[in-house]
Amino acid sequence: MEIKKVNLDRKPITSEYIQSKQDFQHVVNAFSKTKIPVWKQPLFYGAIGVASLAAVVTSTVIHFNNTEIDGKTITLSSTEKEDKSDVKSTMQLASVVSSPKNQGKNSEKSPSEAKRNSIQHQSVSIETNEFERPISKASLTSQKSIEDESFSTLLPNISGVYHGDISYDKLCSSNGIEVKNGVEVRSFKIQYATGITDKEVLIKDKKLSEVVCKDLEKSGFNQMVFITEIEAFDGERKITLPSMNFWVKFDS
Amino acid sequence: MSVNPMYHQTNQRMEEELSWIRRAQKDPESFGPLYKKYHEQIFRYVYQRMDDEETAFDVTSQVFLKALNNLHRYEYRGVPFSSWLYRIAKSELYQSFRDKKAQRTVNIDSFQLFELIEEFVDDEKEENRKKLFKSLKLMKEKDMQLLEMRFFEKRSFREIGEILEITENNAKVKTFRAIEKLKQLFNTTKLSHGDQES
Repeated sequence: MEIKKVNLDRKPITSEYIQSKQDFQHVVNAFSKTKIPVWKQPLFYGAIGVASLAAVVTSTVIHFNNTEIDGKTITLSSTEKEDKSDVKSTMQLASVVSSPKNQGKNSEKSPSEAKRNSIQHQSVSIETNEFERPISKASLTSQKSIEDESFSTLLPNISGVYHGDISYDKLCSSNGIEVKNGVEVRSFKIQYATGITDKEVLIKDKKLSEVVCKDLEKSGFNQMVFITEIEAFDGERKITLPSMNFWVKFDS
Repeated sequence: MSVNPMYHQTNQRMEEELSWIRRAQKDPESFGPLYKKYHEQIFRYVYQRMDDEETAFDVTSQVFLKALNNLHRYEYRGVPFSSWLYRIAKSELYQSFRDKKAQRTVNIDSFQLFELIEEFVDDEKEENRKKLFKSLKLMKEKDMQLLEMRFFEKRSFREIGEILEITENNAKVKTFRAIEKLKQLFNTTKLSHGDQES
């Protein structure tokens, strides 16, 4: 800092004059103007961010708990339309639908295989969202009563197997996909591997087609088969049944 | 050398001051007593180093505004509150010089000049006075502020140390060195024809 000037005997300023120039209110006013509003402070955004994150995590956890809890809770939802209004209902079943036979088998499997199977049947959903005809009040009542039915009555199966291990013979020689209470399967999709590529075939029947069975036989190896979009009729009502996963075995 | 009674306070006064600070940290309006107490000395500190009175009042207001803004950070370390204010004042003062709102000036009175010349020579001739003026202008800022505080403002080494955040002994040593430098400049400075006429 360069010293520009040296003053000798400058006229002194009295204390009274300095006191007369005091203006504390001016300082306080300037202070209130320079004060940063709470919503502009970084801390505010930190708190908001943490709160938002907590809300997202909480909602995710709650949602997860409702849909998938160790394979023992199954959420069943059905949606239907009548006179442009939507009726949504969700019912939760507290028991897993799994035959004791298969459970016994699972206990004998390797840990990784058992884990894979448990993941596969953790969540099952049934959706009825396509209605080609208007639904009468009577059918709505019947719909409600169906919702009250045990979930197991709506589970499809092949030779009594809903998921897990199934022999090739059972898969291809049985009566196809069966459901209790007179629900009739009309079509489904099956995904499997041919050894070169994965295939997805739409079958308009409740039985597997010969082509699919031949493909499976040709591949000749144990593989996972996925049966999805199982469409069935419960009387006049069209419903979509839960998907099925099978571990097709040739060696048993 | 006189002692600044406003600086050297009793423990009781220091505790009272601390209670004002605590209150002001919660409510800015409670800063009033501290403002009244220190306004004059901060103004004199600022005005001592510049030429313009109005700018000195502005800088002083700025010092108290900054103090109020940063009061929540203030921690009592056993030294008077004024040390903290002086440090803010020093920072604001240099900022005003950098912003060219004010120019660095050394203000000295005849008695102080006489005292200072006595350190170097026996007689106070007009020529020596002019030589000292010229030497003061050549001093470095850090040395000049020590001389100002010690010789012109009559501050104790303890107070100088607390304002500059150095120890009392260090303040003594640095001030002694600053005088030596001024003496050296005084002895080597030669007055030009223009200096002698002015």
